[in-house]
This record gives sequence, structure tokens and C-alpha cells, in this order.
Amino acid sequence: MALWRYVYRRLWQMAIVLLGISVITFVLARYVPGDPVLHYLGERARDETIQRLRERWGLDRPVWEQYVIFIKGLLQGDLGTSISTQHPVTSDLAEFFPFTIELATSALLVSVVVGVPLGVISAVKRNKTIDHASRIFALAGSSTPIFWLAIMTIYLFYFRLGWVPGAGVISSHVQRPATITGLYTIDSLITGNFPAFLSTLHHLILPSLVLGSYSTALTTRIVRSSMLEILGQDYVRTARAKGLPERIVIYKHALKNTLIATVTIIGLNYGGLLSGAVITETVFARPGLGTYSIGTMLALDYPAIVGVTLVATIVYACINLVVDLLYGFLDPRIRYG
Amino acid sequence: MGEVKERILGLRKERLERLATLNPETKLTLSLLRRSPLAVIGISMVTIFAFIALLGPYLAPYDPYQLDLSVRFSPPSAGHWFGTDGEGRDIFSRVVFGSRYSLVAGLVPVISAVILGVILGAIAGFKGGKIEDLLMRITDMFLAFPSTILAMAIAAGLGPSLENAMIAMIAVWWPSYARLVRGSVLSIKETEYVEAARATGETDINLIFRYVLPNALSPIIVMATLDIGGAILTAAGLSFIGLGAQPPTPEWGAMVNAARIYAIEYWWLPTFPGLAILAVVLGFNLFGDGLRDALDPRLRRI
Repeated sequence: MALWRYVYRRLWQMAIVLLGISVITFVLARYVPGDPVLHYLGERARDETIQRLRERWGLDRPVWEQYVIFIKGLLQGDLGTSISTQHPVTSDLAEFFPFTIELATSALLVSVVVGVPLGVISAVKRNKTIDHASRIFALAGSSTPIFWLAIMTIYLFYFRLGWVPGAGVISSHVQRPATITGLYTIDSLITGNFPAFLSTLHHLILPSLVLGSYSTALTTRIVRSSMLEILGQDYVRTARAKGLPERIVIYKHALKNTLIATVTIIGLNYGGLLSGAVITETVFARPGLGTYSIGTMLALDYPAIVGVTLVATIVYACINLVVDLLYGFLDPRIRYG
Repeated sequence: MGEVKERILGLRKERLERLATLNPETKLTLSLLRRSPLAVIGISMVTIFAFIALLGPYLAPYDPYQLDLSVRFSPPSAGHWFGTDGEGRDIFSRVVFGSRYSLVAGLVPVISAVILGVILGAIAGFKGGKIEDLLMRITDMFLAFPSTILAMAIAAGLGPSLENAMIAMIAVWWPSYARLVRGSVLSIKETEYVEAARATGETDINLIFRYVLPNALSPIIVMATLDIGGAILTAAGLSFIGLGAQPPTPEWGAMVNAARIYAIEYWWLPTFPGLAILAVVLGFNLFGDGLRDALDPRLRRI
């Protein structure tokens, strides 16, 4: 089947890109001016301590040998041990990544639920008040620094109004759900721990609105311009000319054809949200890939840095693949091969 | 595979290609801008910030670094328009001086990425063959990275400072320009006037710089203008998480970060630097949007 051949080839290409990226990050992590050993031990460490640690971390070997060791480990699912947490990088990632998935997914939901209708309405009511309002909203949304928005909304909705919690992923007095997938929302539902489920959702509201603001703005803009382009097409004019109700023209003829653009922007947003959660997680004091990567990067924790980058790139590439496959379902004219 | 492959890199690339199809003959003229009042508002905002940055020492009533513990945490007043921070520094003066860091952090990485991208993209598009394949595979590799993570990793590795954050941003941004320029060069080099110039014996360098690139400029300028706002946000974000400008530098992102722990009691600490970022980014975005609408005939028709 052409589809499977295509997926197979894409996975191969992905593997090659990943290999290249592992080389880039590995070399980058080794040749940066900062010395992880000195950073770990502090400036006043004794020479023999430094030497011993260097040997233990394999930093005394030539870089290509270190890389071969790294790749051997990688093939066995081992990314080495993080310097800052002293845990295997893979178990750190397994612990923190679910929180980021939860946050990014709910932010994505916000951007779709708000951005798509807003874009459609904006295009249909072109140059009316609602269109101007949504364009101003979209421009402001793509110009606002997320970290600032996070701080200001915490001030307003947590401190002033007390509507939502200001930090963390779950209330301290609620029993945490047993770990099954690592996603608190799913785990608490599976185990029937409803207080934990509600508390998790409550803690997700503000961060996902903040993180989703930029993507919502982007989605609104893309959907609006794509819808406008389609409303100017001949077949829309024909549909109107033959007397179809405007509702049918918009929802049956035009909206379906904006799907390609919509799916593209959703896929792009998801990749961006997963890696862009860094700032939101920091301000809301949430555990996750973002807080983990900042901590490890500031500590020059190179095994963790390489691990985070590889995982982020794999996720990014998978999302792109899914988006490409969706094109084929949305528009049968697109052929794989 | 064709079309699907073209979308592998998602919208980012789609935007590049769309820009690459702008009519190369379109000249950037004032009459184009006049059609878009929003672009005029945008460019006015940017100009105001440029003046604030230039005239900083004359506008700021205080030294942005000057400590005065007797007035710590003063709310906005006639003496301190934006209030003072935890060390009694005048926030208005710091916001005024912060415009310099912000404009530099927005312009330098984008301009450098443009130069690098133009050179490599032009070589790839013009030369073709092995060089093109190699360069384009490298750009694919960079575009396959999540850019935030890559920029953070580079900035952290080089050591946290605003200069290194800007280097990281250049490393992340040049590939999109290389792609864009290659696309334009590919279409322009087949035109008759380039063919004619080649027939008169012009050297390759001359062909690229005198005949091809000048006609590929409009899409580059549009994309660069739209990217400057993003660059300012990225630089401020990197400073905010400690990977850019370091305190006590009056950089807006670093100021908001320092204000974070006091935000609940003293609202004016994070508010004004954040509003400044919002305003300058909005200015560049309005300008870029207007420029694109003016230059893209497809959008104009709608």
C-alpha cells in the first residue's frame, strides 16, 4: 500500500534527521565553553576530584568515542545519567514529560475551541465590529510576552479574585492519583479518584489559557485568512448564485476547505506548545519538560540536555508526520508516494 | 509525494513559499504603505521607540542603575512615574533604557540571520547540484528542531548573556531565510533578463548581486519585519528565564523576572516593562502585517 510505504519512508527519514541532530547536540554540548565538571563541583574543587569525576563521566575520552558510547546506550534505550538529578535521563523524562503533554494538550484545546470559530466568524463578518475585535485580539495575542501575561493573570485571577490556584499541578491536600500513564487527568479517572481529577483540571485552567494565548491568536489569523481566500473562490460564488442559503455555503462549501490550513496550524501549534511550555511551567511552578530543561541547561547537565532535545525533536517530527497523513484524508487529491 | 513533502516543515515553510511567490517586480514604495493605515500606526510606534532608545539619557530622569533604598517600592507618583523597584531604582528610567536592549535584540539577530540566509540561500539556488543538496539538508535539519529548545540549549552552553542569546537566535533563524531566498533565486534566475545578462558575460557574483538578489528583496523584507517582533519576544523570554541579559541590566525581560516575587504586593514592578514589550512588538507586527498585505497581491484582492 502506498500509504504504508510512505509512512515507512518518512520514519526512515526521521531516523536520519535524528541521527544528525544527535550529532549536532552532542558536539554542541561537548564544545561549549562551560565545563560541567567545574560547574558541578564549584570553582574551588581539588584537581584529583575533578580528574576522578571526568573519568567517571567519560569526559576524558575523545569526543567520537563518547559519541559511540552514547549511541550504544541510546540503542538500548539508555540516555545516560543526569548530572543534576542523579537519575537516569529516561526516567526523568518519563516523570516530567506527562505534565507537559497535559499542559500543551489543554492549551491546544483552548486554541482550537476559541481560535477556529473566531477565525470563521471574523471572515464571514468581514469588516464588521466583531471582525475588528477579533483582529485586535489576534494582534495583541501574538504580541504579548507569555511570561508577563502569566504573572499578570496570576495577580488578577489568583491573588485578587481567588478563582484559580496560582501554582502547582494539584492541591496538596488531595491524594495524588496512582501512576499509570503519568497523566494526572487520565490516571485519576481510571482509578476513580475524582477529587484529584477536579483539582488537576482546576490547576490547568489558567496555565493553559496563558500558554494557549499565542496559539489562539495564530489560529484565528490563519483560519480567517484561509476562510477569506476560500470565500473569494468561484465555487462559493456559484453556490451562492444557485440560491443556497448562506449557512450551507459557509458550513458545507467553505468551512470544509479551510481544514487543510487549520490542521497545519494545529500541528504546528502543538509542536510549538510542547517546547514552548518552558516559560509557563516556570511561572506557574509546574513540573514538566520545560522546568526540567531550564534546570539542566543552567547546570550544563549535558546528558539531560541531549535527552530533552532528542525527545522534543522526535515529538515534533511525529506531529509533522501525523499532519501530513491527515492531509491525505482531508484532501483526497493529495497522493502519497 | 510532491505536495505532501512540501508541507513536511509545516506552515513555517508554507509561509516561506507563499512569500517567495510575491511578485518580484513589486517595489517597496510609500504608496503601497499608504494603503494600509495600520502599517502607518505600526511604523509610528516603532519610530517612537527608536527615538526613546536614541534619546534615552535625555528622557530618563534618573540613572537606571542608581540605588536609593529610601524610596524602595514607591508606587507610581509625580516623582517616579512608573514607581520604583525593590532597590529604589526608578522604573521609568529603566524602561526607557530597556528600549535599547530590546531594539538591538530584535534587529541584530534578524539582520544577521537575513545576511547569512541570503548568502547561503543565493549560493544554493544559483549553483544548484551538490552544494544545494547539502545546504538544503542542513536547513531541513535545523527546521526539524523545536527552535525554542535549540535556542535555549545554545544560549545556556555559551553562557547566559544577552550577546549569547542573540547568537543562539541567529543560529535558529538563518535556515528559514536560506529557504526563502533559494526559492526566489530559483524562479528569478530563469527569467529572460538574467539570461540576457549572462549572455553579456557577467560573472556569477555580479549576476547574483546585481540582477537576482535586488529582485528577491521584497519577500525577505516582509518576513524580516514580521520576525523582529518575534525576536524581541524571544530575547525577552530568554532573559526572563535567566539565559539572556542578567540583572541589574535594565532589560525588560530581566526586569519582569526580578519583579516576579514581588508582583503580588507591588503590581507596578512587572506591569510597565511588560507593557513596553507588548507595545514595541505590536508596532513591528502591525508594520509587518501592513507591508505583507500591501505586497501580496492575493491578499489585496480579498
